[in-house]
Amino acid sequence: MPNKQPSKTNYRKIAAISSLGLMLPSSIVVGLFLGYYLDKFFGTRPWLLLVFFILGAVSGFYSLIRGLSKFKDE
Amino acid sequence: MTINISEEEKILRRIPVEILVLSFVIALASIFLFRPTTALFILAGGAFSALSFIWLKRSISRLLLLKSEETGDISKRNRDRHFYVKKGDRHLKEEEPVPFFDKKKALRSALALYGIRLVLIIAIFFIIIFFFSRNIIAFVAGFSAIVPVFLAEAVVALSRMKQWKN
Repeated sequence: MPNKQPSKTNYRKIAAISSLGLMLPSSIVVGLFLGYYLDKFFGTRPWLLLVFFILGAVSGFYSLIRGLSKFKDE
Repeated sequence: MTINISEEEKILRRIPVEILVLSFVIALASIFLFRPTTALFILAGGAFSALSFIWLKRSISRLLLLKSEETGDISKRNRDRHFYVKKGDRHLKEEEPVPFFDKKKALRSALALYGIRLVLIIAIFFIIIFFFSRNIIAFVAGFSAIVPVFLAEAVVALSRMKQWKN
């Protein structure tokens, strides 16, 4: 009879994917919102949006790589 | 020894579907509140979010399998089956570990693949920013549907863990 409960290792996989999965979208979303409203405020559409999107994507990717290497080292 | 992947795989396969469903619900509501174009962008954002999650899951699964190779938890044949068999074969028997496996090369390829996909994500965002900048918030709303889905899944997983402990 197979065990229906997820093992500790498999929960670790879910936890890793969940935390790493949130890193990139959340950074991109924060950057985009910030850029969008700053653009609206300063009337510079779409340049600040673009800059903050790039900053968000780069920081998200950086945290993702850091998270992955940390996970690999554990 | 058997490896059970059904429950975890169920959760991980459920997440993209839930993202799509949530973005569809938000899109449906926004048809009445805003414009049909807004709803379309919300749906597109949700679909894109689900796709990026699937890509990330594949990359991390590859990384985890590398770790399993290191510790000898899983054999090459099981790894291949894990990648290519979508349904059925839930309980795989462990076999002899493979003596040689190019870990660095596989890790690099996993990261490179994800990097290429990330470039695609950025390119799509660029297109939306330049050509549909008024709808970027709708797209972002769909794209961030991943956040409540993760929160809901975390709550469900925690409550299940509590039940097993009791």
